[in-house]
Amino acid sequence: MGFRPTGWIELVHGAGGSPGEGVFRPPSREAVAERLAACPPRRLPGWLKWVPFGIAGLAVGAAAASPAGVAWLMPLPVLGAGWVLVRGLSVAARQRVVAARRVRDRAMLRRHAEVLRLGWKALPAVSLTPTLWVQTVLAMGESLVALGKDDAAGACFEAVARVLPKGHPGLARLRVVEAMAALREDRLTDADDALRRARSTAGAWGGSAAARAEAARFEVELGVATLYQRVRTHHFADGAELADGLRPRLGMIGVAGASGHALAALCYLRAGRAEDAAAAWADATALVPAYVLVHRFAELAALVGEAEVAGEASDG
Amino acid sequence: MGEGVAFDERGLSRALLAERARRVGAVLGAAVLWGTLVWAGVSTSLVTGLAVAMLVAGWVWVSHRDAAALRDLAELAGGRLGASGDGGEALEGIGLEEESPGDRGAEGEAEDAATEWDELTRRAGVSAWVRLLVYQGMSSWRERRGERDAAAAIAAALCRRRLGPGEAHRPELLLTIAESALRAGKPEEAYGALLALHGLRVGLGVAVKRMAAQTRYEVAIGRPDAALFAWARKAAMAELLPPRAAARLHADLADAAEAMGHGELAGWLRQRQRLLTPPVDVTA
Repeated sequence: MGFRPTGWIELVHGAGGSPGEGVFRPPSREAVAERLAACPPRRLPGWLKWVPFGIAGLAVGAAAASPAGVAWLMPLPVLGAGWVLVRGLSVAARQRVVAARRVRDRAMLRRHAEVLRLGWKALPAVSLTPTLWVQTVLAMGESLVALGKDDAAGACFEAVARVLPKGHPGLARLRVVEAMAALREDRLTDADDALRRARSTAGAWGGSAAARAEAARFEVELGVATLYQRVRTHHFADGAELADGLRPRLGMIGVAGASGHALAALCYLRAGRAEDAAAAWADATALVPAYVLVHRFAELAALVGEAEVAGEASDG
Repeated sequence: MGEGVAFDERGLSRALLAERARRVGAVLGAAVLWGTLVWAGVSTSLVTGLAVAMLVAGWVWVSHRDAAALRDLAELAGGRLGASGDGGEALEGIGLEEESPGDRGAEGEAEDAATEWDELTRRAGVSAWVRLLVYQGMSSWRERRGERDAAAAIAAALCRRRLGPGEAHRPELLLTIAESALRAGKPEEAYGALLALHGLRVGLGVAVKRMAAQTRYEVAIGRPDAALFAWARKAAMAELLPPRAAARLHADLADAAEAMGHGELAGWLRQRQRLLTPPVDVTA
Protein backbone atom coordinates (compact mmCIF):
# COMPACT_ATOMS: atom_id res chain seq x y z
CA MET A 1 0.00 0.00 0.00
CA GLY A 2 2.04 2.92 -1.25
CA PHE A 3 -0.37 5.77 -0.68
CA ARG A 4 -0.25 7.20 2.84
CA PRO A 5 -1.87 10.60 3.27
CA THR A 6 -0.22 12.57 6.00
CA GLY A 7 -1.88 14.78 8.51
CA TRP A 8 -5.44 13.73 7.69
CA ILE A 9 -6.15 11.61 10.68
CA GLU A 10 -4.84 13.87 13.42
CA LEU A 11 -8.14 15.69 13.08
CA VAL A 12 -9.92 12.92 14.88
CA HIS A 13 -7.22 10.65 16.26
CA GLY A 14 -5.09 13.30 17.92
CA ALA A 15 -4.25 13.08 21.56
CA GLY A 16 -6.93 15.62 22.40
CA GLY A 17 -6.83 18.76 24.45
CA SER A 18 -7.52 22.32 23.50
CA PRO A 19 -5.04 25.10 23.08
CA GLY A 20 -4.68 27.13 26.20
CA GLU A 21 -5.72 24.36 28.51
CA GLY A 22 -2.23 23.81 29.79
CA VAL A 23 -0.95 20.36 30.64
CA PHE A 24 -3.81 17.94 30.86
CA ARG A 25 -3.67 15.14 33.38
CA PRO A 26 -6.45 12.56 33.29
CA PRO A 27 -8.05 11.99 36.69
CA SER A 28 -7.17 8.99 38.83
CA ARG A 29 -9.57 6.12 39.49
CA GLU A 30 -10.15 7.40 43.03
CA ALA A 31 -10.99 10.90 41.82
CA VAL A 32 -13.41 9.58 39.20
CA ALA A 33 -15.09 7.24 41.67
CA GLU A 34 -15.42 10.06 44.20
CA ARG A 35 -16.92 12.41 41.63
CA LEU A 36 -19.40 9.81 40.41
CA ALA A 37 -20.39 8.98 43.98
CA ALA A 38 -21.01 12.68 44.60
CA CYS A 39 -23.18 12.99 41.47
CA PRO A 40 -25.23 9.80 41.23
CA PRO A 41 -28.16 9.65 38.80
CA ARG A 42 -31.28 10.99 40.48
CA ARG A 43 -34.87 11.43 39.52
CA LEU A 44 -36.62 14.79 39.77
CA PRO A 45 -38.65 15.08 42.99
CA GLY A 46 -41.99 13.33 42.67
CA TRP A 47 -43.90 16.35 43.97
CA LEU A 48 -43.14 18.25 40.76
CA LYS A 49 -45.90 16.41 38.90
CA TRP A 50 -48.41 17.86 41.37
CA VAL A 51 -47.32 21.42 40.59
CA PRO A 52 -50.07 22.06 37.96
CA PHE A 53 -52.72 20.93 40.45
CA GLY A 54 -51.18 23.11 43.14
CA ILE A 55 -51.25 26.09 40.82
CA ALA A 56 -54.88 25.36 39.94
CA GLY A 57 -55.81 25.13 43.61
CA LEU A 58 -54.07 28.37 44.45
CA ALA A 59 -55.65 30.14 41.50
CA VAL A 60 -59.14 28.95 42.45
CA GLY A 61 -58.49 29.89 46.07
CA ALA A 62 -57.29 33.35 45.05
CA ALA A 63 -60.38 33.88 42.91
CA ALA A 64 -62.74 32.68 45.65
CA ALA A 65 -61.12 34.80 48.36
CA SER A 66 -61.05 38.03 46.38
CA PRO A 67 -63.74 40.68 46.14
CA ALA A 68 -66.36 40.03 43.47
CA GLY A 69 -65.32 42.91 41.21
CA VAL A 70 -61.72 41.80 40.74
CA ALA A 71 -62.15 38.03 41.07
CA TRP A 72 -61.05 37.46 37.49
CA LEU A 73 -57.85 39.44 38.19
CA MET A 74 -56.57 37.67 41.28
CA PRO A 75 -55.62 34.27 39.81
CA LEU A 76 -53.37 35.96 37.24
CA PRO A 77 -50.30 36.40 39.52
CA VAL A 78 -50.61 32.77 40.62
CA LEU A 79 -50.86 31.57 37.03
CA GLY A 80 -47.95 33.85 36.10
CA ALA A 81 -45.80 32.44 38.89
CA GLY A 82 -46.75 28.93 37.81
CA TRP A 83 -45.77 29.69 34.23
CA VAL A 84 -42.40 31.05 35.39
CA LEU A 85 -41.83 27.88 37.43
CA VAL A 86 -42.71 25.55 34.55
CA ARG A 87 -40.61 27.62 32.16
CA GLY A 88 -37.67 27.52 34.57
CA LEU A 89 -37.90 23.75 34.82
CA SER A 90 -38.05 23.48 31.05
CA VAL A 91 -34.99 25.72 30.60
CA ALA A 92 -33.06 23.70 33.18
CA ALA A 93 -33.97 20.48 31.35
CA ARG A 94 -32.82 22.00 28.07
CA GLN A 95 -29.51 23.05 29.62
CA ARG A 96 -28.94 19.49 30.80
CA VAL A 97 -29.52 18.19 27.27
CA VAL A 98 -27.15 20.79 25.81
CA ALA A 99 -24.43 19.97 28.36
CA ALA A 100 -24.69 16.25 27.58
CA ARG A 101 -24.66 16.94 23.84
CA ARG A 102 -21.49 19.01 24.14
CA VAL A 103 -19.78 16.09 25.84
CA ARG A 104 -21.07 13.64 23.24
CA ASP A 105 -19.95 15.85 20.34
CA ARG A 106 -16.44 16.11 21.80
CA ALA A 107 -16.43 12.34 22.27
CA MET A 108 -17.33 11.86 18.61
CA LEU A 109 -14.43 14.10 17.66
CA ARG A 110 -12.21 12.17 20.08
CA ARG A 111 -11.22 15.34 21.94
CA HIS A 112 -10.66 13.35 25.07
CA ALA A 113 -9.36 16.09 27.31
CA GLU A 114 -12.39 18.24 26.53
CA VAL A 115 -14.74 15.30 27.07
CA LEU A 116 -13.34 14.84 30.55
CA ARG A 117 -13.32 18.55 31.37
CA LEU A 118 -16.88 19.19 30.16
CA GLY A 119 -18.19 15.87 31.48
CA TRP A 120 -16.71 16.55 34.90
CA LYS A 121 -18.45 19.92 35.03
CA ALA A 122 -21.74 18.64 33.62
CA LEU A 123 -22.15 15.70 36.00
CA PRO A 124 -24.13 17.52 38.73
CA ALA A 125 -26.60 18.86 36.15
CA VAL A 126 -27.02 15.73 34.04
CA SER A 127 -27.43 13.56 37.13
CA LEU A 128 -31.07 14.74 37.20
CA THR A 129 -31.70 12.89 33.92
CA PRO A 130 -30.44 9.31 34.23
CA THR A 131 -30.20 8.74 30.45
CA LEU A 132 -28.00 11.81 30.01
CA TRP A 133 -25.94 10.80 33.04
CA VAL A 134 -25.27 7.37 31.49
CA GLN A 135 -24.32 8.93 28.14
CA THR A 136 -21.96 11.39 29.80
CA VAL A 137 -20.27 8.85 32.04
CA LEU A 138 -19.84 6.42 29.13
CA ALA A 139 -18.25 9.17 27.03
CA MET A 140 -15.88 9.96 29.90
CA GLY A 141 -15.07 6.26 30.27
CA GLU A 142 -14.30 5.87 26.57
CA SER A 143 -12.06 8.95 26.65
CA LEU A 144 -10.20 7.59 29.66
CA VAL A 145 -9.65 4.32 27.78
CA ALA A 146 -8.32 6.27 24.80
CA LEU A 147 -5.94 8.12 27.12
CA GLY A 148 -4.68 4.83 28.53
CA LYS A 149 -6.33 5.26 31.93
CA ASP A 150 -8.10 1.93 31.98
CA ASP A 151 -8.42 1.83 35.77
CA ALA A 152 -10.16 5.21 35.91
CA ALA A 153 -12.34 4.19 32.97
CA GLY A 154 -13.28 1.08 34.93
CA ALA A 155 -14.78 3.32 37.63
CA CYS A 156 -17.03 4.91 34.98
CA PHE A 157 -18.14 1.60 33.52
CA GLU A 158 -18.81 0.10 36.94
CA ALA A 159 -20.94 3.10 37.85
CA VAL A 160 -22.97 2.74 34.65
CA ALA A 161 -23.31 -1.03 35.13
CA ARG A 162 -24.80 -0.38 38.57
CA VAL A 163 -27.63 1.76 37.19
CA LEU A 164 -28.50 -0.24 34.08
CA PRO A 165 -31.32 -2.73 34.61
CA LYS A 166 -30.37 -6.39 34.78
CA GLY A 167 -30.36 -7.94 31.32
CA HIS A 168 -29.90 -4.58 29.54
CA PRO A 169 -27.96 -5.10 26.28
CA GLY A 170 -25.69 -2.19 27.19
CA LEU A 171 -24.27 -4.32 30.00
CA ALA A 172 -22.92 -6.77 27.44
CA ARG A 173 -21.05 -3.94 25.69
CA LEU A 174 -19.65 -2.80 29.03
CA ARG A 175 -18.35 -6.32 29.67
CA VAL A 176 -16.49 -6.22 26.37
CA VAL A 177 -14.92 -2.87 27.24
CA GLU A 178 -14.02 -4.23 30.67
CA ALA A 179 -12.45 -7.28 29.05
CA MET A 180 -10.33 -5.13 26.73
CA ALA A 181 -9.13 -3.03 29.67
CA ALA A 182 -8.33 -6.14 31.72
CA LEU A 183 -6.41 -7.65 28.81
CA ARG A 184 -4.37 -4.48 28.42
CA GLU A 185 -3.49 -4.64 32.12
CA ASP A 186 -2.65 -8.34 31.89
CA ARG A 187 -5.54 -9.35 34.18
CA LEU A 188 -6.30 -12.39 32.07
CA THR A 189 -8.67 -14.09 34.51
CA ASP A 190 -10.79 -10.94 34.87
CA ALA A 191 -10.85 -10.57 31.10
CA ASP A 192 -11.94 -14.17 30.62
CA ASP A 193 -14.67 -13.70 33.19
CA ALA A 194 -15.91 -10.48 31.52
CA LEU A 195 -15.95 -12.13 28.09
CA ARG A 196 -17.88 -15.11 29.42
CA ARG A 197 -20.45 -12.80 30.97
CA ALA A 198 -20.71 -10.83 27.73
CA ARG A 199 -21.32 -14.03 25.76
CA SER A 200 -23.99 -15.13 28.22
CA THR A 201 -26.12 -12.11 27.27
CA ALA A 202 -26.62 -13.34 23.72
CA GLY A 203 -30.40 -13.48 24.14
CA ALA A 204 -30.70 -10.00 25.67
CA TRP A 205 -31.02 -8.13 22.41
CA GLY A 206 -34.62 -8.96 21.59
CA GLY A 207 -36.11 -10.28 18.39
CA SER A 208 -36.82 -7.17 16.32
CA ALA A 209 -34.89 -6.58 13.11
CA ALA A 210 -33.05 -3.60 14.62
CA ALA A 211 -32.19 -5.65 17.69
CA ARG A 212 -30.86 -8.47 15.53
CA ALA A 213 -28.69 -6.01 13.60
CA GLU A 214 -27.47 -4.58 16.91
CA ALA A 215 -26.75 -8.09 18.16
CA ALA A 216 -24.79 -8.86 15.00
CA ARG A 217 -22.71 -5.73 15.57
CA PHE A 218 -22.12 -6.75 19.16
CA GLU A 219 -20.95 -10.18 17.98
CA VAL A 220 -18.26 -8.44 15.94
CA GLU A 221 -17.16 -6.32 18.92
CA LEU A 222 -17.03 -9.47 21.02
CA GLY A 223 -15.03 -11.14 18.26
CA VAL A 224 -12.42 -8.36 18.34
CA ALA A 225 -12.11 -8.70 22.13
CA THR A 226 -11.75 -12.47 21.79
CA LEU A 227 -9.08 -11.96 19.14
CA TYR A 228 -7.19 -9.69 21.53
CA GLN A 229 -7.45 -12.38 24.18
CA ARG A 230 -5.88 -14.88 21.74
CA VAL A 231 -3.06 -12.42 21.15
CA ARG A 232 -2.46 -11.82 24.87
CA THR A 233 -2.45 -15.55 25.60
CA HIS A 234 -0.22 -16.27 22.57
CA HIS A 235 -2.77 -18.53 20.90
CA PHE A 236 -1.95 -17.15 17.49
CA ALA A 237 -3.11 -20.13 15.43
CA ASP A 238 -6.54 -20.00 17.09
CA GLY A 239 -6.53 -16.23 16.58
CA ALA A 240 -5.77 -16.60 12.88
CA GLU A 241 -8.65 -19.03 12.52
CA LEU A 242 -10.98 -16.67 14.35
CA ALA A 243 -9.77 -13.74 12.23
CA ASP A 244 -10.65 -15.56 9.00
CA GLY A 245 -14.31 -15.48 9.96
CA LEU A 246 -14.23 -12.08 11.62
CA ARG A 247 -12.51 -9.87 9.06
CA PRO A 248 -15.27 -9.85 6.42
CA ARG A 249 -17.71 -8.62 9.09
CA LEU A 250 -15.53 -5.87 10.58
CA GLY A 251 -17.17 -3.25 8.33
CA MET A 252 -20.17 -3.43 10.64
CA ILE A 253 -18.31 -1.55 13.35
CA GLY A 254 -16.85 1.06 11.03
CA VAL A 255 -13.41 2.48 11.73
CA ALA A 256 -13.28 0.58 15.03
CA GLY A 257 -12.78 -2.48 12.82
CA ALA A 258 -9.18 -1.34 12.30
CA SER A 259 -8.32 -2.93 15.66
CA GLY A 260 -9.67 -6.25 14.41
CA HIS A 261 -7.66 -6.09 11.18
CA ALA A 262 -4.49 -5.16 13.10
CA LEU A 263 -4.86 -7.95 15.66
CA ALA A 264 -5.64 -10.35 12.84
CA ALA A 265 -2.41 -9.27 11.13
CA LEU A 266 -0.40 -10.13 14.23
CA CYS A 267 -2.06 -13.55 14.54
CA TYR A 268 -1.44 -14.28 10.85
CA LEU A 269 2.20 -13.26 11.12
CA ARG A 270 2.85 -15.40 14.18
CA ALA A 271 0.96 -18.29 12.55
CA GLY A 272 3.30 -18.10 9.56
CA ARG A 273 0.82 -16.54 7.11
CA ALA A 274 2.92 -13.54 6.08
CA GLU A 275 0.85 -12.57 3.03
CA ASP A 276 -2.40 -12.57 4.98
CA ALA A 277 -0.66 -10.55 7.67
CA ALA A 278 0.43 -7.93 5.17
CA ALA A 279 -3.06 -7.70 3.70
CA ALA A 280 -4.69 -7.37 7.13
CA TRP A 281 -2.14 -4.77 8.22
CA ALA A 282 -2.71 -2.78 5.04
CA ASP A 283 -6.46 -2.80 5.75
CA ALA A 284 -5.91 -1.75 9.35
CA THR A 285 -3.63 1.13 8.47
CA ALA A 286 -5.92 2.29 5.67
CA LEU A 287 -8.51 2.95 8.37
CA VAL A 288 -6.31 4.18 11.22
CA PRO A 289 -2.62 5.22 11.21
CA ALA A 290 -0.13 2.65 12.46
CA TYR A 291 1.01 4.79 15.38
CA VAL A 292 -2.54 4.98 16.73
CA LEU A 293 -2.88 1.20 16.54
CA VAL A 294 0.46 0.69 18.25
CA HIS A 295 -0.55 3.15 20.95
CA ARG A 296 -3.74 1.14 21.43
CA PHE A 297 -2.09 -2.31 21.38
CA ALA A 298 1.60 -2.29 22.28
CA GLU A 299 2.05 -5.82 20.85
CA LEU A 300 1.59 -4.40 17.38
CA ALA A 301 4.92 -2.52 17.59
CA ALA A 302 6.65 -5.75 16.61
CA LEU A 303 4.42 -5.96 13.57
CA VAL A 304 5.03 -2.57 11.98
CA GLY A 305 8.16 -3.45 10.06
CA GLU A 306 7.55 -7.17 9.64
CA ALA A 307 4.12 -7.08 8.04
CA GLU A 308 5.03 -4.25 5.70
CA VAL A 309 8.24 -6.00 4.65
CA ALA A 310 6.31 -9.23 4.12
CA GLY A 311 3.76 -7.36 2.04
CA GLU A 312 6.43 -5.77 -0.13
CA ALA A 313 8.17 -9.14 -0.56
CA SER A 314 4.95 -10.79 -1.68
CA ASP A 315 4.27 -7.90 -4.06
CA GLY A 316 7.73 -8.33 -5.50
CA MET B 1 -42.06 -4.31 0.76
CA GLY B 2 -45.43 -2.94 1.67
CA GLU B 3 -45.94 0.76 1.32
CA GLY B 4 -47.37 0.98 4.83
CA VAL B 5 -49.69 3.89 5.55
CA ALA B 6 -50.02 6.28 2.61
CA PHE B 7 -49.14 9.87 3.46
CA ASP B 8 -52.08 12.21 3.11
CA GLU B 9 -51.05 15.85 3.40
CA ARG B 10 -54.67 17.02 3.32
CA GLY B 11 -55.42 14.68 6.19
CA LEU B 12 -52.60 16.28 8.18
CA SER B 13 -53.94 19.77 7.42
CA ARG B 14 -57.46 18.72 8.41
CA ALA B 15 -56.25 17.19 11.68
CA LEU B 16 -54.29 20.32 12.57
CA LEU B 17 -57.24 22.55 11.74
CA ALA B 18 -59.70 20.40 13.69
CA GLU B 19 -57.47 20.44 16.75
CA ARG B 20 -57.11 24.22 16.58
CA ALA B 21 -60.88 24.59 16.19
CA ARG B 22 -61.46 22.34 19.21
CA ARG B 23 -59.16 24.43 21.39
CA VAL B 24 -60.48 27.79 20.28
CA GLY B 25 -64.00 26.43 20.73
CA ALA B 26 -63.23 25.24 24.26
CA VAL B 27 -61.84 28.64 25.29
CA LEU B 28 -64.74 30.52 23.67
CA GLY B 29 -67.23 28.14 25.26
CA ALA B 30 -65.67 28.72 28.68
CA ALA B 31 -65.83 32.49 28.15
CA VAL B 32 -69.48 32.36 27.06
CA LEU B 33 -70.35 30.14 30.04
CA TRP B 34 -68.54 32.54 32.39
CA GLY B 35 -70.41 35.52 30.96
CA THR B 36 -73.75 33.72 31.13
CA LEU B 37 -73.29 32.67 34.75
CA VAL B 38 -72.14 36.14 35.81
CA TRP B 39 -75.09 37.67 33.92
CA ALA B 40 -77.41 35.20 35.70
CA GLY B 41 -76.18 36.55 39.03
CA VAL B 42 -73.94 33.68 40.22
CA SER B 43 -71.07 34.84 42.46
CA THR B 44 -68.24 36.20 40.26
CA SER B 45 -65.59 34.70 42.55
CA LEU B 46 -67.14 31.25 42.28
CA VAL B 47 -67.54 31.46 38.51
CA THR B 48 -64.01 32.75 38.01
CA GLY B 49 -62.65 29.99 40.23
CA LEU B 50 -64.55 27.42 38.20
CA ALA B 51 -63.31 28.92 34.94
CA VAL B 52 -59.70 28.84 36.13
CA ALA B 53 -60.12 25.28 37.35
CA MET B 54 -61.53 24.27 33.97
CA LEU B 55 -58.71 25.96 32.11
CA VAL B 56 -56.07 24.29 34.24
CA ALA B 57 -57.85 20.94 33.91
CA GLY B 58 -57.89 21.40 30.15
CA TRP B 59 -54.22 22.29 30.17
CA VAL B 60 -53.39 19.20 32.26
CA TRP B 61 -55.45 17.00 29.93
CA VAL B 62 -53.73 18.35 26.82
CA SER B 63 -50.31 18.00 28.45
CA HIS B 64 -51.18 14.43 29.37
CA ARG B 65 -52.23 13.62 25.78
CA ASP B 66 -49.06 15.26 24.44
CA ALA B 67 -46.85 13.42 26.91
CA ALA B 68 -48.50 10.09 26.05
CA ALA B 69 -48.04 10.74 22.31
CA LEU B 70 -44.40 11.74 22.80
CA ARG B 71 -43.78 8.63 24.91
CA ASP B 72 -45.28 6.40 22.21
CA LEU B 73 -43.30 8.28 19.57
CA ALA B 74 -40.05 7.71 21.47
CA GLU B 75 -40.91 4.03 21.79
CA LEU B 76 -41.73 3.64 18.11
CA ALA B 77 -38.73 5.60 16.87
CA GLY B 78 -36.24 4.71 19.60
CA GLY B 79 -36.89 0.99 19.44
CA ARG B 80 -35.52 1.04 15.95
CA LEU B 81 -32.51 3.21 16.56
CA GLY B 82 -30.66 0.70 18.70
CA ALA B 83 -28.19 1.32 21.45
CA SER B 84 -25.58 3.97 21.00
CA GLY B 85 -22.13 2.53 21.08
CA ASP B 86 -19.70 4.80 19.31
CA GLY B 87 -19.91 8.13 17.57
CA GLY B 88 -21.10 6.65 14.34
CA GLU B 89 -23.95 4.80 15.91
CA ALA B 90 -25.02 7.91 17.71
CA LEU B 91 -25.70 9.47 14.34
CA GLU B 92 -27.49 6.51 12.93
CA GLY B 93 -31.13 6.46 12.10
CA ILE B 94 -31.89 9.54 10.07
CA GLY B 95 -30.78 10.84 6.76
CA LEU B 96 -27.83 9.44 4.94
CA GLU B 97 -27.91 5.86 6.08
CA GLU B 98 -28.33 3.58 3.11
CA GLU B 99 -31.06 1.02 3.36
CA SER B 100 -29.94 -1.57 5.85
CA PRO B 101 -31.34 -5.09 5.73
CA GLY B 102 -31.58 -4.97 9.49
CA ASP B 103 -33.94 -2.03 9.29
CA ARG B 104 -36.31 -3.68 6.86
CA GLY B 105 -37.16 -6.45 9.25
CA ALA B 106 -39.79 -9.10 8.83
CA GLU B 107 -42.87 -8.11 6.89
CA GLY B 108 -45.18 -8.85 9.82
CA GLU B 109 -43.11 -6.73 12.16
CA ALA B 110 -43.12 -3.87 9.66
CA GLU B 111 -46.90 -4.09 9.28
CA ASP B 112 -47.33 -3.95 13.06
CA ALA B 113 -45.14 -0.87 13.19
CA ALA B 114 -47.04 0.73 10.30
CA THR B 115 -50.31 0.18 12.16
CA GLU B 116 -48.84 1.76 15.28
CA TRP B 117 -47.66 4.78 13.30
CA ASP B 118 -51.10 5.05 11.72
CA GLU B 119 -52.73 5.02 15.14
CA LEU B 120 -50.31 7.62 16.44
CA THR B 121 -50.83 10.02 13.55
CA ARG B 122 -54.61 9.81 13.92
CA ARG B 123 -54.68 10.34 17.66
CA ALA B 124 -56.97 13.19 18.67
CA GLY B 125 -56.32 15.82 21.31
CA VAL B 126 -52.59 16.29 20.75
CA SER B 127 -50.97 19.66 20.14
CA ALA B 128 -50.01 20.67 16.62
CA TRP B 129 -46.28 20.61 17.34
CA VAL B 130 -46.53 17.10 18.78
CA ARG B 131 -48.48 15.90 15.74
CA LEU B 132 -45.84 17.38 13.44
CA LEU B 133 -43.15 15.70 15.52
CA VAL B 134 -44.95 12.40 15.07
CA TYR B 135 -44.95 12.90 11.31
CA GLN B 136 -41.27 13.74 11.46
CA GLY B 137 -40.65 10.48 13.30
CA MET B 138 -42.68 8.62 10.70
CA SER B 139 -40.62 10.23 7.94
CA SER B 140 -37.41 8.96 9.54
CA TRP B 141 -38.90 5.53 10.06
CA ARG B 142 -40.00 5.28 6.44
CA GLU B 143 -36.60 6.38 5.27
CA ARG B 144 -34.96 3.62 7.28
CA ARG B 145 -37.40 1.16 5.75
CA GLY B 146 -36.30 2.23 2.29
CA GLU B 147 -39.52 4.14 1.48
CA ARG B 148 -37.46 7.15 0.43
CA ASP B 149 -40.06 8.91 -1.68
CA ALA B 150 -42.74 8.69 0.98
CA ALA B 151 -40.26 9.94 3.57
CA ALA B 152 -39.31 12.86 1.37
CA ALA B 153 -42.98 13.70 0.71
CA ILE B 154 -43.66 13.88 4.44
CA ALA B 155 -40.51 15.91 5.00
CA ALA B 156 -41.45 18.37 2.26
CA ALA B 157 -44.96 18.80 3.70
CA LEU B 158 -43.54 19.44 7.16
CA CYS B 159 -40.92 21.89 5.91
CA ARG B 160 -43.71 24.05 4.49
CA ARG B 161 -45.05 24.58 8.03
CA ARG B 162 -43.87 26.19 11.21
CA LEU B 163 -42.86 23.31 13.45
CA GLY B 164 -42.80 25.14 16.79
CA PRO B 165 -40.66 23.24 19.28
CA GLY B 166 -40.11 20.69 16.51
CA GLU B 167 -38.06 23.25 14.54
CA ALA B 168 -34.97 21.50 15.88
CA HIS B 169 -35.80 18.66 13.49
CA ARG B 170 -35.99 20.85 10.38
CA PRO B 171 -32.36 20.09 9.39
CA GLU B 172 -33.09 16.36 9.40
CA LEU B 173 -36.16 16.90 7.24
CA LEU B 174 -34.16 18.98 4.77
CA LEU B 175 -31.53 16.26 4.67
CA THR B 176 -34.22 13.71 3.86
CA ILE B 177 -35.44 15.86 0.96
CA ALA B 178 -31.91 16.43 -0.36
CA GLU B 179 -30.99 12.76 -0.08
CA SER B 180 -34.15 11.64 -1.82
CA ALA B 181 -33.59 14.05 -4.70
CA LEU B 182 -29.95 12.99 -5.05
CA ARG B 183 -30.89 9.34 -5.02
CA ALA B 184 -33.50 9.98 -7.69
CA GLY B 185 -30.84 11.64 -9.84
CA LYS B 186 -32.39 15.10 -9.51
CA PRO B 187 -29.64 17.22 -7.96
CA GLU B 188 -31.46 20.41 -8.98
CA GLU B 189 -34.19 19.49 -6.49
CA ALA B 190 -31.61 18.89 -3.76
CA TYR B 191 -30.15 22.36 -4.21
CA GLY B 192 -32.94 24.17 -2.36
CA ALA B 193 -32.81 21.83 0.60
CA LEU B 194 -29.00 22.08 0.83
CA LEU B 195 -29.17 25.83 0.57
CA ALA B 196 -31.74 25.96 3.37
CA LEU B 197 -29.57 23.64 5.44
CA HIS B 198 -26.61 25.98 5.12
CA GLY B 199 -28.78 28.74 6.54
CA LEU B 200 -29.50 26.80 9.71
CA ARG B 201 -27.46 26.35 12.83
CA VAL B 202 -26.92 22.61 13.12
CA GLY B 203 -25.20 20.21 15.49
CA LEU B 204 -22.19 18.08 14.69
CA GLY B 205 -24.26 15.07 13.62
CA VAL B 206 -26.27 16.97 11.02
CA ALA B 207 -23.22 18.96 9.90
CA VAL B 208 -21.42 15.74 8.97
CA LYS B 209 -24.45 14.43 7.10
CA ARG B 210 -24.84 17.76 5.33
CA MET B 211 -21.22 17.56 4.24
CA ALA B 212 -21.82 14.07 2.84
CA ALA B 213 -24.95 15.19 0.97
CA GLN B 214 -23.16 18.25 -0.37
CA THR B 215 -20.31 16.04 -1.63
CA ARG B 216 -22.72 13.76 -3.42
CA TYR B 217 -24.47 16.78 -4.89
CA GLU B 218 -21.19 18.19 -6.21
CA VAL B 219 -20.27 14.86 -7.79
CA ALA B 220 -23.77 14.68 -9.34
CA ILE B 221 -23.55 18.12 -10.95
CA GLY B 222 -20.07 17.44 -12.36
CA ARG B 223 -18.00 19.48 -9.92
CA PRO B 224 -15.44 16.89 -8.71
CA ASP B 225 -13.04 19.70 -7.83
CA ALA B 226 -15.52 21.06 -5.30
CA ALA B 227 -16.31 17.56 -4.02
CA LEU B 228 -12.63 16.86 -3.50
CA PHE B 229 -11.97 20.14 -1.72
CA ALA B 230 -10.68 19.41 1.82
CA TRP B 231 -10.99 15.69 1.07
CA ALA B 232 -8.74 14.80 4.01
CA ARG B 233 -11.07 16.49 6.45
CA LYS B 234 -14.06 14.86 4.77
CA ALA B 235 -12.48 11.41 5.00
CA ALA B 236 -11.75 12.00 8.67
CA MET B 237 -15.25 13.27 9.38
CA ALA B 238 -16.76 10.30 7.54
CA GLU B 239 -15.72 8.25 10.55
CA LEU B 240 -18.48 9.96 12.50
CA LEU B 241 -21.12 8.56 10.16
CA PRO B 242 -22.61 5.08 10.40
CA PRO B 243 -20.44 2.61 8.45
CA ARG B 244 -22.73 2.39 5.43
CA ALA B 245 -23.03 6.16 5.05
CA ALA B 246 -19.27 6.52 5.60
CA ALA B 247 -18.66 4.00 2.82
CA ARG B 248 -21.03 5.93 0.53
CA LEU B 249 -19.14 9.19 1.17
CA HIS B 250 -15.83 7.46 0.40
CA ALA B 251 -17.32 6.19 -2.86
CA ASP B 252 -18.34 9.74 -3.80
CA LEU B 253 -14.89 11.08 -2.94
CA ALA B 254 -13.27 8.25 -4.92
CA ASP B 255 -15.44 9.10 -7.94
CA ALA B 256 -14.35 12.72 -7.65
CA ALA B 257 -10.69 11.73 -7.30
CA GLU B 258 -10.92 9.55 -10.40
CA ALA B 259 -12.57 12.34 -12.33
CA MET B 260 -9.72 14.65 -11.32
CA GLY B 261 -7.11 12.05 -12.31
CA HIS B 262 -5.86 11.33 -8.76
CA GLY B 263 -5.57 7.57 -9.18
CA GLU B 264 -3.66 6.81 -5.98
CA LEU B 265 -6.01 8.80 -3.82
CA ALA B 266 -9.00 7.16 -5.50
CA GLY B 267 -7.50 3.73 -4.77
CA TRP B 268 -7.00 4.59 -1.12
CA LEU B 269 -10.55 5.90 -0.84
CA ARG B 270 -11.93 2.77 -2.54
CA GLN B 271 -10.02 0.59 -0.09
CA ARG B 272 -11.55 2.47 2.85
CA GLN B 273 -14.97 2.23 1.20
CA ARG B 274 -14.59 -1.55 0.96
CA LEU B 275 -13.49 -1.80 4.58
CA LEU B 276 -16.35 0.34 5.85
CA THR B 277 -19.07 -1.48 3.92
CA PRO B 278 -20.90 -3.88 6.23
CA PRO B 279 -21.80 -7.31 4.87
CA VAL B 280 -25.32 -7.57 3.49
CA ASP B 281 -26.60 -10.34 5.75
CA VAL B 282 -26.01 -8.61 9.07
CA THR B 283 -28.89 -10.38 10.75
CA ALA B 284 -28.19 -13.81 9.32
